[in-house]
Amino acid sequence: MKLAISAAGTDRQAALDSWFGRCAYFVVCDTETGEVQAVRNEAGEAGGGAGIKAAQIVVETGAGAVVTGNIGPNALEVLQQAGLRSFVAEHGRVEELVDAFKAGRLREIAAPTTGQHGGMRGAGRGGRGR
Amino acid sequence: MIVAVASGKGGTGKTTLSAALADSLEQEVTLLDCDVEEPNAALLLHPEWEDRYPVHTPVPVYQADCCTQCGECVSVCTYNALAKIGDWIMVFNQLCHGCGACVYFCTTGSLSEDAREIGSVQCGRSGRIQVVQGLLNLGEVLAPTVIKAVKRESGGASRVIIDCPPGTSCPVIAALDQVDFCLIVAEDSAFGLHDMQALMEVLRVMHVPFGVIVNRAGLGDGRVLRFCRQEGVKVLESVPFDRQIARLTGRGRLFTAEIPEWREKMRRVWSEVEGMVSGARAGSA
Repeated sequence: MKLAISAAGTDRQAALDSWFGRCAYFVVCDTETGEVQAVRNEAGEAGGGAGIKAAQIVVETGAGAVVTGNIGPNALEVLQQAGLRSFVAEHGRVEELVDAFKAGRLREIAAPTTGQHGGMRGAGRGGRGR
Repeated sequence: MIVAVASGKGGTGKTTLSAALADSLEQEVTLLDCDVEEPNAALLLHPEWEDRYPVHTPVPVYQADCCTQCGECVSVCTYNALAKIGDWIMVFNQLCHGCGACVYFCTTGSLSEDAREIGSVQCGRSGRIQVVQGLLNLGEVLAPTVIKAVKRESGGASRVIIDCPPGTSCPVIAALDQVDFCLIVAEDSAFGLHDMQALMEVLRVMHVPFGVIVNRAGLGDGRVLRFCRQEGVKVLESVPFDRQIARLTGRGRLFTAEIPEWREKMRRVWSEVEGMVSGARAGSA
């Protein structure tokens, strides 16, 4: 199965990017063959709905599961609709996270870990659209 | 004449001064409370509400039968309100801005438009003042849609005061659209000056003439007045940081109604604005 990990870089050594919708890359690893492929997350620059767009990018990679730090309700809905399972991690490198996933050490996300706009990092959505 | 009351920074006294201005005029005036995320001019004007009606925004409705999954609707949506998953299109109503692009570009008729209620407009009267307020429903983000509905209520009224939302983003732009003048209510603080400058940038781009009222004057170090002097911005009035005014406002009473000299001062501000607007009109004609 393919596992998509939100990451700051493009290879096995890349660190986990803790935000799903606005992460830099998705590193997709084949858990059987160990093959790795990176996809740039174009949704990172979206004005709104980044999570929804990012989730579609992940679905198109053919991944069956996702590992990320925080994910919002809309992105989670898209992933669930597509039948993907999502797992949460706090930190780690891609290769460590793949091992942790295979060993069953990662917690599955049943509910969103953040609200909408969780990944905007103080970029001005300060509640009243200022 | 349509006068907007705006500030950039929140909490500087836009609503207090909008209501005070409306209260001071001797003729009929319409006050539009366009701070639709928390309208509160009514707390000072105590209107009797006469009418209330809902505001809607169009949203796409998906019918899968004829859909070829071309994905055009998803790619034209700037707001990522649609997602294509397998052979199904998901619609996220909360993210939809109602532009209609997805329905327009759908060649198979799989998307149609439905109306979704996002807020309401309320109309009432307080003496000579016609009060209109917009209210955006909880969890909704399309403030501009409700603001535009509020503004349609002013019809051809000859004196209109618009109580704007704080900030300088889309809701403020919607409130400022087509106004003749903007009264900036400034607070003499670092934030107050910074956000006033941001608002002035917006007003210049929109070609809206403006002047400043300093509120709670005496509270800061004079940086707002210094800036206005340097930039040649007209300061129309300074309302002092005054216990009596604060006490009255806190009890939902207008300081202009209780301290007659302030009605006089506000009337003078209005006629000065009238002069500046007709001057600007003559200049551009």
